[in-house]
Amino acid sequence: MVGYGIRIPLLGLWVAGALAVSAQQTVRYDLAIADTVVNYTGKPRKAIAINGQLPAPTLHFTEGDTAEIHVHNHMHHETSIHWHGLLLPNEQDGVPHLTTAPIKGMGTHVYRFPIRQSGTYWYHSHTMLQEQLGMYGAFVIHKKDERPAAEEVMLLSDWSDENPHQIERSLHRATDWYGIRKGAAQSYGEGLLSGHFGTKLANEWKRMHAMDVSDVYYDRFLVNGQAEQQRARYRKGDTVRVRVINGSSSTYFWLTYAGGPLTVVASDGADVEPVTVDRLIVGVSETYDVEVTIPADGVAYELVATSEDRLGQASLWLGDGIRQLKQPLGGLDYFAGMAMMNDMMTVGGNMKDMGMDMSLQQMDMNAVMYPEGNGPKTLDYAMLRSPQPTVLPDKPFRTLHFELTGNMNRYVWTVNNRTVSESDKIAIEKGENIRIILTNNSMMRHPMHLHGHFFRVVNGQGDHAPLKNALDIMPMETDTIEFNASEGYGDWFFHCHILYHMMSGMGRIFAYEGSPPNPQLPEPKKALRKVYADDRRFYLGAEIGIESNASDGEVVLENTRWAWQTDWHLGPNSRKGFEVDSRLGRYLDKNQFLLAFVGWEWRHREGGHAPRNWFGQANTKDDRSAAHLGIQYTLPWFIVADLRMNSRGYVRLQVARDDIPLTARLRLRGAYNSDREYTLGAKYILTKYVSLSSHYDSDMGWGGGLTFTY
Amino acid sequence: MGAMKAIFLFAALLQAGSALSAQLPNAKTETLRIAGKCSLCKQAIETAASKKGEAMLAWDLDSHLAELTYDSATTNADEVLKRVAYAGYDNERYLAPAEAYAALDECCRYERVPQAIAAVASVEARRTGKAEAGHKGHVPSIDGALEAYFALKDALVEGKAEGIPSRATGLAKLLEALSAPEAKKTASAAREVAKGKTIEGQRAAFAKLSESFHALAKANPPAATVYYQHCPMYTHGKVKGANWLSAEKAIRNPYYGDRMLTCGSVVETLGGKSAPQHRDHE
Repeated sequence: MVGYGIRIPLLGLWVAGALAVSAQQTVRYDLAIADTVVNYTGKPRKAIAINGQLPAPTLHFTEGDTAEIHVHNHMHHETSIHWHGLLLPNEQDGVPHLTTAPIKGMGTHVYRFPIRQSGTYWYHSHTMLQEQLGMYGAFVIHKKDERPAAEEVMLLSDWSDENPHQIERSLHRATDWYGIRKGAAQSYGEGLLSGHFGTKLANEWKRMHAMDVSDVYYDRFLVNGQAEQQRARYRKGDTVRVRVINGSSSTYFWLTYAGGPLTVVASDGADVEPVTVDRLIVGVSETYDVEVTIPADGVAYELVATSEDRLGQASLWLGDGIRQLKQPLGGLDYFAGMAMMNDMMTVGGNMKDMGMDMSLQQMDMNAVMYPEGNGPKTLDYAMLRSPQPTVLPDKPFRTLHFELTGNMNRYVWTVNNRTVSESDKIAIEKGENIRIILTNNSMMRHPMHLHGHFFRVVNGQGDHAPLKNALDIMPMETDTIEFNASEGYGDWFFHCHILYHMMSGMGRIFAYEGSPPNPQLPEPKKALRKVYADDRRFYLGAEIGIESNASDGEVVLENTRWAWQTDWHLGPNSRKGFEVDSRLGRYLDKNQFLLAFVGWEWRHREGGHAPRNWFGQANTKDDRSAAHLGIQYTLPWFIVADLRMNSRGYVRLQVARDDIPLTARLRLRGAYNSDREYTLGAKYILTKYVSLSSHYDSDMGWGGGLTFTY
Repeated sequence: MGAMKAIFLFAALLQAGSALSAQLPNAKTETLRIAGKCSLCKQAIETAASKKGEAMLAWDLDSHLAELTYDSATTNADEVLKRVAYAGYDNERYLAPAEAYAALDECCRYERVPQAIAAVASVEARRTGKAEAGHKGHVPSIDGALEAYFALKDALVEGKAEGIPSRATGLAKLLEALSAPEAKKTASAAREVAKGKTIEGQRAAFAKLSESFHALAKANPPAATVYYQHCPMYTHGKVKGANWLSAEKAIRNPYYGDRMLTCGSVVETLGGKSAPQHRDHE
């Protein structure tokens, strides 16, 4: 091996200026990973840098090289790097605890693998939520004897000033704060003003919250780590090959160009026959190579990536001079989307496609929300055609059916209603052909990514079906992908590449039968438990009111199936009363409308009450200490019915509705129960965590104060 | 709620305050060149550029120069000029998007620099190309009526309510000249479309017209292949789903126009050499 890296000690860190002159075929890079501070919005925030930069440096290789990458972890916590889209030995794939040893804090790990392909790929952390903090970089492999002069990398990403763990926890708590920030709260008031009150009512009747095309509010969208960048060297007539990589954690991007149409020449690293379009959407983790031309001198043309929710964009300017803007994509008409979802959703919580056999992005239902409609010529998967035949070896096919499923309200994302940890690995035999028929029965689109293999997308191009490693599948679509189990051994992850969906368990593991033990994972059972731990985590949430009449509060700790809920109503004295209720339950049905629980309740009050409950039992509401068994069921319109019986045979039924969105920030709540207690409340949301609130309670009377939401 | 009222009052006070203080903090002034042609341009440029508490701009029609005063702590000339370009006006740093220029009022179409013209030309070319499609010479009998029907359908695809009554009336006249028993009913359905005042009303009537025309075309197969297409999403009152006839297999939905242009599927193929019926999804 001849190859060297230059290391410059800086601020006590190894900041490696990588790279590599290679006389022979081994190309070495040194990557130094360190905590860093960035400032995109005027506020300093923690991030992760590789070789002192965000995004990580672009790694260049030529097909036939051997890659040798030394990763130095200068952080105190563990990390990993996954080589996205690369064909490599399983232990080099970089999924910690599944294929590769995690890189411990202050540790070093050497990756070494032959480069067997060419095209546009990328690399990123596969550990927890580190990707959201900036751990991604481009991985470009040139064809042998070919190094085009005019090419650029356009690595897209999303940035939030909020800690990713807070984002994740908030999503599991169904926060509406991101909707408020985006102007997408879709309240009854806004519905009334725009003539969509009935639409909103029908939407909630079908137990759907405000609809959106993405879940998270991002502060910035970035191209190569910046809001905009310019490449001034291009002149009239130049054709530029732009390697577009969507390295975001959960944002799809529309790509448009001010200098004319875009010609797509490769997807996910694999060449396709050139196809010219006005725009294309780049799914999370997908890559596209597009060619654009420079129409005139003295102008810089805008190549724009617009987030799918259309709230932000990032631009790459090509050329030098006055800047030619591209017409921005107009805002989404959310209520039109809501009306469409109402048509597609049954009251039972299933998606129905009305017999339209949707597939391959050809019918974009979101277009009902686009002000520009369906006019521009838009790329879809049926247009992609491989220049070479991609027929699989003449071997038997095994067909698997994956239904993509999810629960937006609890942010549980699954395949066939099971998370990764709840399902067995899928055993595959070396050499066999696997056909996966994917149906998206959830309300969001999912970019499904397969590690270490290309699959063919069965798209009507026959023998020339395109090769990809990530497939965007829209709600209600059915797509078929096929691959040959050609890699020999190991465990390969297949998962949704929206970071927060993957972490909630949306995926499967393909395991080659008869694989040799993985030397990097000496304790395979323990390692697998680590993998499964990701989607078994519990999330804490709370809503605590401090008001003049009483404190009403609830604290919950929940994971995929289990929930521990504690609530209280504490008055200032025993005339107003004290109540505490705690219960542990499990969600039983597919849609998670039904929770069965056991718990305990204590209450005390000296105020007088109705003598009997609805069921004719002597009312014990003011003096009770008992264990109970019960169920909660979420009825249409999000009315939660809670029916319980305690150890003394006493029965209580309560119906409650929280968070009725009256305006973008005003919420109403109400509850009534068979003990003849009732409460009515309102809150005005000031920040993500604080609201002004007021409520009336049949025991405690009127009061006002603040409510804290966590 | 008292607290909310206080917040509204406070917000109102803040706004009033900013209006009173004509002077911006950290004020910086620059002179900038912005294209434009008339007093309408002046208004549009100044509205696009100015932002309360951030930037104020005054544009001069004769010199095409603007004086920009802005708060240098919160914004810069680049941001302001970008807004101006998005409103359709080329300036010293940004060229307006082709679509924004094309949307300007006739009197505001200033002469653009050569670099910008290429982009506009490509947008215009696409637009006129679209309009020409679907207009062919006159053919007798049901085929002639079909041509008129397709022209009406295309107008609905484009969503232009104004052009529709005249086309529908023209279609009705052609249908009335036909001898087929279904033609009379179809003609009166076309008259109903002509009576529609809104695009929604016209589309509802068009759904009925299409069903009637389908029966007519079934009884009198047209010379060229015609596709009977179905949109399951269309809703009008109690009506769920609607059909239409098309000369092309590709879906161009007349019920949603641009919004759901490709929504729908072919349910039946009529005329031409295609006698057998089949289901085919696009």
